[in-house]
Amino acid sequence: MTSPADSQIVLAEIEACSYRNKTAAETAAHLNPLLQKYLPLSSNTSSPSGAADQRLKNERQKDHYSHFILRLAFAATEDLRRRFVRAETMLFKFRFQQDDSKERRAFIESLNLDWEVVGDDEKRELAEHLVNATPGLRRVDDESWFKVDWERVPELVERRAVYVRKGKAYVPGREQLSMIIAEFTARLERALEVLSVMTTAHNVLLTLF
Amino acid sequence: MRARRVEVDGVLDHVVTATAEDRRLQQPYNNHSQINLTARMIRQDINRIDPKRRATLDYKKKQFATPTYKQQDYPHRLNFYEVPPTAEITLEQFEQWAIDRLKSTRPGFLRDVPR
Repeated sequence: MTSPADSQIVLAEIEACSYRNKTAAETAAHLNPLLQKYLPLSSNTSSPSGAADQRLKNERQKDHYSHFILRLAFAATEDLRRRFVRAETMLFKFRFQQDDSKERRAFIESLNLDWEVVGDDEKRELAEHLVNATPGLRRVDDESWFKVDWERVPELVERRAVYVRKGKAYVPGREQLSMIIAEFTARLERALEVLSVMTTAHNVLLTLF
Repeated sequence: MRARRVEVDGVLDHVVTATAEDRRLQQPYNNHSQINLTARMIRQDINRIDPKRRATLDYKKKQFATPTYKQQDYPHRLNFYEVPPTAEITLEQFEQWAIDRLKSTRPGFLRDVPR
């Protein structure tokens, strides 16, 4: 596979590295104008009619489609796939952190991640355990809690940083970010693997017939 | 069916376009004239459905139905990119959107692209 586009891609891949040694504020200052110019993505609250606004729909459609177009372009080699996943994860994380908390919660709920939000009653009942088991936590009410099968968060269990009861781990809200990002990366990697196998198979068939 | 000879990159080829007549023939069994039946018998191989898909179709109604996809309405700002896009976009959009996404987060990729 040698096309001019490929070589350009290989020659000029710098950007992911350039974010590595920057603080969050520096990254934001660098990214925001670029995103604003080329790939704006507004929240529901930015428009009086919410998600029904045609401008928001267009922005989201462009974001959605361009992601999948680049998937095709970057599925070819292991190296390109890794770069794609890294850049997309970075972008997702950046947007996720900027999202307002209400919309973020609605988005997380829409994902069907088998996460269960811990209700107020249960939270009160387990308050003492939660505080004791979760380091760096002063009051239970500061966090929104949710419970997942404990196998989903092995690193938290390993650090003994989470309360486990009846097979469920009670994870505080601030661990959500890393878990969502991990899930995003994992799903994207899997999808790209499948895509590359499919395109390879397709190319093989084309050479045969 | 109307065939037209065209030249593509110096190679002669045929472009076949569907005519109004074809579309009328494709209407399932609404006309019992002998001509039409004969025409349908000849054209049978064209009208056949892929055997794997046959079971799910009511051939009388759905043989020429356009595919329908899950409607996407983007209720949230963020996207996990689980569902692939299915609507049609133009070639210009295809190109421009891909370039814009590259420009937004990976400016280095497009350093040598003229536009």
